[in-house]
Amino acid sequence: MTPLLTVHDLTMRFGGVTALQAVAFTVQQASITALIGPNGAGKTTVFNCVTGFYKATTGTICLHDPQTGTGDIDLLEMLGESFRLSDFWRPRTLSRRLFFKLFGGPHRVNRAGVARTFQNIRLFDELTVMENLLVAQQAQVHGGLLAGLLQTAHFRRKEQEAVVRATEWLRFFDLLGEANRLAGTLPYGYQRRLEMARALCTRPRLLCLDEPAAGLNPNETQALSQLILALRDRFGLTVLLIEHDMGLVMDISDHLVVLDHGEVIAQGKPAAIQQDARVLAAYLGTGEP
Amino acid sequence: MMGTDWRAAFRVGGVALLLFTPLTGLVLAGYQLEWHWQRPLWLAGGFGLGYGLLRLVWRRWLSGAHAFGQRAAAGSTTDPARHRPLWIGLALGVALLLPFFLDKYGINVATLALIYILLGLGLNIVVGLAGLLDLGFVAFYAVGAYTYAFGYHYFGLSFWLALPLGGLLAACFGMMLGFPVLRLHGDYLAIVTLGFGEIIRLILNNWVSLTGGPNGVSVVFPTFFGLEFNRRAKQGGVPLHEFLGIDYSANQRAVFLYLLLLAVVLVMVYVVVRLKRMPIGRAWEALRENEIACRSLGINHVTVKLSAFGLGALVGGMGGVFFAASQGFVNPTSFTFFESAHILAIVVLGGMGSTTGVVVAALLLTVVPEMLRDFADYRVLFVGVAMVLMMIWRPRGLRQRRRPVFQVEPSPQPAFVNPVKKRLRGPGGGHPPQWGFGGKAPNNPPNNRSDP
Ligand SMILES: Nc1ncnc2c1ncn2[C@@H]1O[C@H](COP(=O)(O)OP(=O)(O)OP(=O)(O)O)[C@@H](O)[C@H]1O
Ligand SMILES: [Mg+2]
Repeated sequence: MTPLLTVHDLTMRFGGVTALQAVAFTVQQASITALIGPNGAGKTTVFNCVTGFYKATTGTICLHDPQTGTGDIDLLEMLGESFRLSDFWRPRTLSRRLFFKLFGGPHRVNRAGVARTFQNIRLFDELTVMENLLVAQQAQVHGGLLAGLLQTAHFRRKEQEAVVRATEWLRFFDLLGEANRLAGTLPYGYQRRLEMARALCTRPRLLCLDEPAAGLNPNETQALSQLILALRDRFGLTVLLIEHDMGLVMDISDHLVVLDHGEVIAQGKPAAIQQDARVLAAYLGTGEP
Repeated sequence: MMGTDWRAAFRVGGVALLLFTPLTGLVLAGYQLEWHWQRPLWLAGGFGLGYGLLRLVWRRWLSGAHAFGQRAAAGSTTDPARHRPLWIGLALGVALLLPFFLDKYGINVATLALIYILLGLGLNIVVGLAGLLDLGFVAFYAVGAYTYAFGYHYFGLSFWLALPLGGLLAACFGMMLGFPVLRLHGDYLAIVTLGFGEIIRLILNNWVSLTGGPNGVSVVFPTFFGLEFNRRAKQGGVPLHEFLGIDYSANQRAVFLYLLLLAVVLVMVYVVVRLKRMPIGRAWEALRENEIACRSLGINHVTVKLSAFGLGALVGGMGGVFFAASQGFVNPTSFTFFESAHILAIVVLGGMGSTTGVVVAALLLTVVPEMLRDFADYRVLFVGVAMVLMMIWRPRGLRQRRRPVFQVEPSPQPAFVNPVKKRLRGPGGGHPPQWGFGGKAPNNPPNNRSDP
């Protein structure tokens, strides 16, 4: 087992509110890890920290690169950390910091290989399904302004590749028939799948799904669990998942992390978590608070 | 169908009668009230009839885009693009031949219309595509116009150099405006851009030693490869009519400018149409739809926003250079907030993001008021009424933006590039996941907390 993501000592404060307190967990390569906990436990906040939408107050978030072995990617650094006095006699650190201050942000985290979906779906409603997927491949298509205006062969080939990749993901999520519909007009269940397809089009190594089964009926939830398993088994993707549907979570996840009031109260295999006294207390409200 | 139309027309007539009876039926003459019963009847009849006819016309020819979303869904079945080449060719032919049949005044109006098309195209990038409400677009127009004016005045810059330079300088100003407003949306953004437009105008107005203040700066007319359009050469060259050996006519320069502007407009239309199908154009629209989702997909919202501001301003600046050239003179009164509102009206009326719509709306909003010169006082009223009517009948503008249709189904062999790892098998193999009642609405609505 090799870890893909290591979160260590993650603390997030909003003014006086401590949303996360020293959260630590690892996500193994090609596994499904579920993040569970009662409402307001801080699950979405963990996601926002990992994907770069929030700047963690303290802690480290590291994406490992087992394939190339080039070492770890510090996801926090990409958001543009504030300068420290010691930087001024280390020009390399200083220039890196300056670079990320200017050009850093969540998009860098995505390009490093972390994609996500949102708890409340965020599609580009007035764009077609296909365009939604093409936007996601933006960072890879490139091509420059002039190449696009002149429609060079290179540009057209890149576009075609993007369409092919999008088509394959549409087929995977059974959305091929909807390719030219406006995303906003899709039924709810389709929108959830489209958002996953769009995240996958950015070619991530870690896929973060925030309550993908929310609002789905039992059949759809069943199909969703098959899809998530297929992502792991067929593509070797690593999935980090927030979910309230315990049936789904216990079925498919390899590892569980339980959050309550911003702290990790338990982690381990699903079977072990089901027996854990603190988890039961957090969910059922029994025992000492 | 018809019946409901006429019933509605009758109702409108009735309301008009109620309104106009006290307004126009009773006339104060001296100290006496006079009773003109025919007037309200005529007015009400006119309104009712007009409304009925408009409804019919709308139902017959215009209602295609009413059901929003269905056109994109229908895709190729009823493709409105079928007659497109014909229309474009016709419009082009008319545009090319037009100046040869108009008098000088007519050509000037046509030139102005083209300038507004250019401005509309520029603002359409910022507002229609990127969704950044800009109420100070006139600032870039002014920057373009004054670039030419100052360039000529202080450095002897020619029109041909001023055209790209004015555009580039305006683009720089656009990005300068873009930086501080990166985090702003909607109303706040609108207010800041409004302020920006006013600042530029006030500087032009009050920095008298540099700009000449309200007296403005005069501008020289462009030359054609060094050939002038005057009866006698003033800039030390040869007049065009002498060079060609034809008679001098005051129209020549206006026709020349018109054709030049037409060429630039055509290039810009092409550029904008292409941009919309390019990654950058899609990024603008994605940013308009959902900025957070954009950032989660690896798109740097800073560069995307700045490029929208910059490119929009570039087009606006070029419009400004043409404006200065056609007027022969610029002063700050041409760059008031009303001008910004006018350009915004063009974009909104035309249909956000639609290029054809912008062209049509620019023509409408420039040519119609000129034709109704006698009613010049009601010009703003005309724009207002047009906007209100449009909001009622076509809330998405004259033309709705058509989405590009992609051919997806025929994929002969699984030419799949595995999106994750090249070695593994693609999703073409294996069992496709079965989805239950995919189309059904969710039983329990999702958590609607806004995060992050
Ligand atoms: N931007 C923010 N500003 C202030 N407080 C925040 C912010 N984001 C989250 N919080 C707080 O952090 C806590 C955890 O919220 P979070 O959204 O992470 O919960 P969650 O576990 O995702 O809950 P749910 O299951 O309802 O989605 C909440 O108390 C919330 O009020
Ligand atoms: Mg949440």
